[in-house]
Order: sequence, then structure tokens, then C-alpha cells
Amino acid sequence: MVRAADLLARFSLDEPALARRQVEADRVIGASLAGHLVHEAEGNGDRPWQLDPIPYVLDGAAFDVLAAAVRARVQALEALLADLYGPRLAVQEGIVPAEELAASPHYRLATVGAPAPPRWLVTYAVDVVQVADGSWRVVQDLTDTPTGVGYALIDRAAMARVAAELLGPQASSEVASIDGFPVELRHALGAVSPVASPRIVVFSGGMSQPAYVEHSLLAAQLGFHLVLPPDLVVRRGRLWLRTLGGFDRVDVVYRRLADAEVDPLSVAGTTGVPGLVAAAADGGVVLANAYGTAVLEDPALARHWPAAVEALTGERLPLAPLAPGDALATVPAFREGRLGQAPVVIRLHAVNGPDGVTVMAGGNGRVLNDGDDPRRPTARLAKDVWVLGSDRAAPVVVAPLPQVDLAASVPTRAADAMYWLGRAAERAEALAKAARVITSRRLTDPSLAGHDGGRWARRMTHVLRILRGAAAGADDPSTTAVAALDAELAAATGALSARLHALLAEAALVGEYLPVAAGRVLRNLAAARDHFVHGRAAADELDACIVDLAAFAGLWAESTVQGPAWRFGDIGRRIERALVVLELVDARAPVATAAGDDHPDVVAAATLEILLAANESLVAYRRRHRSDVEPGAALHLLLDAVENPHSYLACVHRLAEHVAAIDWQEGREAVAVLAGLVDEHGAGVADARRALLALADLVHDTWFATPVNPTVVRGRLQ
Amino acid sequence: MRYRVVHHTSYAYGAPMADGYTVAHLLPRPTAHQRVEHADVTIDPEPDERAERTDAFGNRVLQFGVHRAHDRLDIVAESEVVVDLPVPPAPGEPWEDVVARVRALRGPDALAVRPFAGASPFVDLAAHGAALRALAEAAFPRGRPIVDAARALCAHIFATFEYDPTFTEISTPLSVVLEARRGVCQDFAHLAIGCLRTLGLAARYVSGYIETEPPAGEEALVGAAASHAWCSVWVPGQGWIDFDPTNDHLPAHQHVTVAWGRDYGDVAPVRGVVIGPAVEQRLTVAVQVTRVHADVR
Repeated sequence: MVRAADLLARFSLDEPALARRQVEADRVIGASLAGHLVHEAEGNGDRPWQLDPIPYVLDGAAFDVLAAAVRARVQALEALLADLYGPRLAVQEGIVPAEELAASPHYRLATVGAPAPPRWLVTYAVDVVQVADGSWRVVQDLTDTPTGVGYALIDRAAMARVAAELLGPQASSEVASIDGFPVELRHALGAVSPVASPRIVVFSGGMSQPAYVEHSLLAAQLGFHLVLPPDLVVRRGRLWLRTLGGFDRVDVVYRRLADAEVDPLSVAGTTGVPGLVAAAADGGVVLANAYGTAVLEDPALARHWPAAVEALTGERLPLAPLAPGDALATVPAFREGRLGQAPVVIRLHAVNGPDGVTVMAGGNGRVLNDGDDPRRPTARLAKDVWVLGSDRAAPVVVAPLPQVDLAASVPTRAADAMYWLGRAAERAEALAKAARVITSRRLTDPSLAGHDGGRWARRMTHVLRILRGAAAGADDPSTTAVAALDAELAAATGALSARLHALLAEAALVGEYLPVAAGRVLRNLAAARDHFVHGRAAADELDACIVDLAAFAGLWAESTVQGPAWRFGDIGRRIERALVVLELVDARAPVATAAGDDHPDVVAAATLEILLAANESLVAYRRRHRSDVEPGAALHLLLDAVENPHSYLACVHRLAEHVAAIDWQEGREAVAVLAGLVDEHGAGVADARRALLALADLVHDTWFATPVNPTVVRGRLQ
Repeated sequence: MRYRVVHHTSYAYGAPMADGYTVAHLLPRPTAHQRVEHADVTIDPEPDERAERTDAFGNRVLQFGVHRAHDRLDIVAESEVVVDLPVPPAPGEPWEDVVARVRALRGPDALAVRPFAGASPFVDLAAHGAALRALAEAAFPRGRPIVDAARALCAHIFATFEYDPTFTEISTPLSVVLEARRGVCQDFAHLAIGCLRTLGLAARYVSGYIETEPPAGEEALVGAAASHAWCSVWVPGQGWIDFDPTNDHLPAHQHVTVAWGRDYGDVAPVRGVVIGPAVEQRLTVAVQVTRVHADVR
């Protein structure tokens, strides 16, 4: 049998090698977080954590002892919760002082005397730390919304890259896998419902929560809907999910929101789903963990739990609490490029299922700085926790849990986010391409910009203004046409950054609908967003952005499940693309200027070329016509060439397919009129644009009239 | 004494609300001194769902939802209760002995009394302990009988705090009330409860009404036009004794009890959530408590 020391000895612990591993770890962690980069742009400093490339290795025997203690703690705390909200014997006997319990901000009176939930703790985590004599101490129990399982999976995936020689195929028999743990979790969540095929949701507070990364990852891993409070509604004591098809029953809520945030109607509540706590108390829905389990986390009460557990169960609560004077054991740690020794707090996870308590053979290690509170380390330096002995991994095969098909029912909010994601992606593409072709044309043909009193420059300024949705402005006589174009290019680049931000924000809301590979592409787009926000972009930077957008479009078309959510996203894309075409066609019209009428000449030809290129149709044009750009042929390609996927008519056909697929009669009618509105000369563009915008409004009003956040109403006494 | 209570709560919203959920403590509970002959709540618009439950303190809680557009909500609670003339309380033991007895309570009594001896959301002892102790000091000299001391405390609050219905909001923290030395009944109840609990006594918050139209020749009590609140202290051998710091007396027969809890938050008469645009909402409350003479037996 391999021992921890033997395994670590195979790990080259010299600083340059560790630094190389660190770079790889940072890269992998960064990519896995790429869908969640909204925070960074908003300056709240929520950077990804760093992963120490040296794992924390636990010998199998040591883990077995810890795991047994964790299992015993779960059973003991389950009994304690049943008492604290049931007969309260520990309170009656004075072991837990009643006035202290009632004063706890985490003790929920709504649960007192209510029928006991099927299980109090479905998930549980405990932070432990090794002290100098080799024994283990408890830092804190996590009973409300234990976090970390998703992070452990991300960290392990990163370590598989960083330390391939230890986690690779040859070594796989030595380190226990944690891949089976989400299956255990799903099984345990399903088992708390009396329903044969329960509908389970991951209940999150959304992107404002630091752990949203994990919520999104777990939802994807578990195959459950990720829902936010506005997605849910309580009616007649039951919980329902707002979907495109109406209200769908929810049986189990995997609660990732602190219990004070689940129901604004509860005494402690401020946000959430009105009526959820009462529905849970009446058994209409199961909360996992149960409402009120956070009381065990109250530090003011923690000193009473060991005696209460002993009185209730006759057993001692295993693992002593960490005492202030305890000296902590240290392990090798790689911090800021230096190899050293540091104490590490380890979070162990358990699920409490129908077949007993399963402890994950791994966990989250957190490296402590000098003087750190072990509950809240200051450095965000994580360590992957390895347990030696593959037989300690949870068995992956458990009875399959019938689940509702993700593709068949879609939360309204997810479809809404997909729709806006599609629109933002398409607009970003148009802006990037237009800025790209105009920038490069300026470089390759410097005389064109100033040609004929700056006519081309003014036309290009006009095109960019239309694409970024700015009001048509009069020429500023104090600046030259070339200077105005440069200013407009900067503005368009800023607009591109804003659309990329919208794309990233929506993508973060629907991460579980997008292919895994989208993460890397989104990471690149986030970098582009941050760079372009200042309004400057070189041609090659725009090229890189266009390539990433194309990659995203490819993943969208080929690697995304084409269910109803995707269809709404693609409706958004086609509406936006059709709008772009119409805007470009409209922009070809001469601009009335003091210099006189525009007439067919070198400027008009260059303009058409730019419009085709901005619509990604220039290559198609050249292949077909092998001539200079001729207006009639160009318009045909933009408007009614069905074989050109960027033409208006091609967009309309796709829209028709989508509204037929979701069986939406009103949408069919709104799409049916679109084809006939524009003729081959470009007449009717304004009508078509109005009709498209009406369709966009119809989509919104029919499907996404989202509920407004609840307002709390309170009476007042005198 | 037989009373008829009509409590009308009305919300007017500046725009239609799509959905609304309400929790109400409006149905009076029976007590040792009070019999509830009948009690009913009428809601307009008619709720789409409504249910009654009992909370952890044994209060009657009405929960209802209006799940369609509505721009107003009218809740009318009507009840008829018979209130006995309570026996005037005996002075009781020295208050320090009561503190010791509270701590020593075991079994069901520990569950019934001790939860009211600690902090609660509206009565934050950690933040205001020193100020509350200072306020209680004069009324609680060593060895004074508990009932006398509690009565003196209420008299002290009555004398040194000004009743001012324009001053406080629902969320007014005790620190503001202590600083400005003014407030409404719920603030005074919270003050008295805080003083009693900081000494280690058990005190609960009582929500209810007082007679609005007293017999000729008697003056109407403060707080009569709305719902009222006072406090109750646990006295060994006598149970819970009510005190009304807003009116400087022990509640006699003019008080009708609806519900009790640790503080206002546990028993707010009407609490709820509406879903709709963030617009102005206007709340009006009218309470009428009248003696019923027809039914003299």
C-alpha cells in the first residue's frame, strides 16, 4: 500500500517545477470559472481562488478514522436537530438554555412543533484541522448550506492536469476518485421525497452569491435546474417552477441560499419565495437541508451541543473542538512562489442518504496564513485533498433516479437569458466585424479616408453609429471627417465591450445549458471585453475577438442541446442578425451632406464592400461574381439569398422553423409577414425593421414577462 | 365585560400588484382571563387561498394569498370576546429570587417561560444591555417584590418617554427610542421587555386592543384608535401578569389580547409581500372596541 509520504516524495518539490505547475493550475481554474466573470468587470474583486499545486495527501487509514467520525457526527446532529425542533428534551433538562436557544438568530420558530422533515441534514460538511500531536479537531460544522463539493470537483480536475503523473492512468489505483460523489448527492436528494420521480432544483441566489460558480457546476453535474427565487412560486401549499409551458411542480429544493433568504414571508426573511417556509412545514415540498438547520452553526450555542448529544443519544460527539491554545500541524505549501510549511484546514463532505451516510474521499483544503482565524482564512489558497486507496471512493453505481428531461421543460428565466445571450452575441459579432474591416481598410488604403472631402469616412462613421444604436447625428463641423471616424471607431469598440459584457452576464446565468468547452471561449471574450472597454482595438485584436465569437457561434450551433431554451436563444440570434442586415442595407443609402449628393463611384463601391464584409458575405459575393461589388448583386446576397446564412431571408426562415418547433401560433403569424416586407431593391427596410422589433416585443411579452421582485408590506402599531 | 372589536386594515397600492401574500395575527386567542365568543376575518378582494395555523406560541395565524391583479387590500377582523376582571396581583417574591427561579425552571415550564428571558430580534440585549439596565435601575432596588418593581418600571417609562405616533417606524431600533426618549406602544413594550430581560426576568410582548369608547366620564386610553401592545412578566405562582407602559397601569378589563410572542416581529397584526412595481403604498388602520351591553346575563 502506498503511503502519503511515498506519494509526495514522487512529487518534485523544487520551486521552479512547482511554479510551472502553478501556472497550469491557474490556467485550468481560470478556464473553469470563465462563465462567471461578471463580477470581475464590476470591480468587486472576486478573483478566482488559487490552487496550491501540492496536494494534501491523507493516508487511507487516517481518512477511515475521520470518515467514521464524520458519519457519527451526522447521525448525532440529526438526532440533536430532531430534538431542538421537536420535544426539546435537551432544553427541558436545561442542557441547552431555552433563553439562549430562543435568542439565536438561526433558531427557526416556524419549524418548532411542525411535522419533522424526512431528513434534517441531507448534506453536511465539517472543517477539521490536524494538531501537532497528530490528532484532529473540529473547527466548525456546516449544516445550513454546506459549500465546497463543486469546488472540490473543479480542484480535482485541475490537479489531474497539474499532477498527471500521480493522478494519471498508472496512478489511478492509488488516489481515491471523488467523481461518484455527485451521484450520491443526487440519490440522497431524490430519497427525501415521497414522490417516485421527484423534480429537484438547485436553489441559488444568483450571480451575487460568491458560490454561484459552484451552484452552476453542481446543477450541470446533477442534471437539475438551477433556479433563482423569481423562478419559483408557492400555490396552495406546493412549490412550482415557472417554465415556458406553465407551472411545473417542484418536490425537492437543494437549498444553496441561507435560510434567512428563502422566504420573505418568514419572520426572519428578507428575500426569496413567499410562502416557501409554510409549504415546507406542511410537507408540500422538501427543503434540503431542512429549514432551521443553521442553528447548529451558531457559535454562541456550539458549546452546548456535545452535552446535548450525549444526553440524547448516549454517545459522545466524536472529534473535539479546536481549542484556542492548540498548536496546528503543518504540511508543505507553495505560496506566492515559495515552498514552505503551513497549517491547512480541511473541509470534509457527507451526504445523508437512504443507505446511510457517505463521506467524500477528498475535500477542500484551505491554507492558513499566520494569525488566521481557521474559520475564515485570509488567503484564497486552496489545496486538493487526496485520500489514498481507491476502494475508499464512493461506489458510482446507484439506482438511477428518474428525472424530468432538462430539454423538455425550461425555466422561463433560463429561456430569457438564452434569448438575450443570442442577441448580445450577434450584435457583438456585427460590431467587431464592422470595426475590423473599417480599421483595416484605413490601414491598407490610407488615401480613401480623406477622399472627396472625407465622404468615405463620413459613410463609415454613419454605418458604425447605426450598428451601435446611436442616434443619427449631424456632422460636427469643427472636426475633420477622418477625426470623426476615429472617434466613432472608439465609441463602437466601447459598444462592443458592453455587448460582450451582456453576453458574459447572460452566459453566466445559463452556464448549465452551454457546452463545457464554452468556458475557454468565454474567458477569452472576457479578456477582450476588459481590453476594449477603453475604446481602443488594433485590427489583430478585433480578429482574435471575431474568432472567439465564431467559436462561440460554432459551439452554439453544434455542441449545445437544441431544446426549447436553445431555440429561444437562436430566436434572439436570428432577430438580431436580421436587424443587423437591415441596418447595413439602410446604411448603404447616400448620406445627404453639404458636399453634395453621393453618386456611384469608388466610395460607394468601397462602402458596399465594407457592408458585405461586416455581414460576413464578402467571400460569398466574390466567389459568385468575381467582379467589383455591384449594388444589385450585393443587395440580393444580403436580403434574399437563402443559401447565405447571413441574409435577411435566411434569418426569417430560421425564425419560422423555431416558432413552428415551439408550436407558437402568434409567433408564426408575426414571422410570416417578415418575408414579404423587403424587395430586392431594399425598399421596405423600415417596415421590416418595425415588424422585427414587434416580433421581439411579442417574444418578450408572451414568454418572459418576468415577475418583479417582492416588496415587503408591514403594518404598524400605535 | 363583553367587547366587540372591529379592526380594519387597508392597503392602497399606487399600481396593480400581480400577486400578494399576507400573514395575519388578527384572531384573538383564548387566555386565562378571556373567552373568545366568535372571531372572523373578511378579506377583499376574496383571496385565492387561505389557511389558518397555530404558531409556536399557540397564537392563531391566518395566511392568505391574492394571486391576481389588485390595487388594494382590505382586511376586516371582527370578534366578540368576554374579558374577566383579573384578580389584582400580589406583590410576589423579591425580583432576584424570580430571576433564580426562571433559570432553574425545567421540563415543560422551561419551554413555556425561559424562551422569553433572552434576547430577540427587536430586543437586542447585546447592543442595548447597558442602557436598559440603567433605565431599570431605579425601579429594581434590591429585594423589591417583582410585581411592584415591574409596575414602577412601567411608571418610569411612562413618565420619562413621550408618546409620539409620528416618531417611529416599524423598524425603529431600541437605540433610537432610547436616544430620543419617545415612541409608540410597541416601542414602550419593547423597552419594558428589554429592561426585564436584561435583569434575567421572563417577559413577553402582547399584541391586542384597548377599549376605544370608554363609558361616560372616563377618559379614552392612549393608543385606542389602533392596535395596541404591552408586556407581560412571569411571576412564580401567579403566571403571566400584564403591564401597559403606554398607559402606566396593569391592564384591567379594558384590554383585549390577540397574540403574544418574544417581540413585535413574532405577532405583527398584518405582515406580507406583494409582487409588482415598486410604487407607493398607503396603509390605513382603524380599530373600534366597544362594550356590548345587550347581552347582560
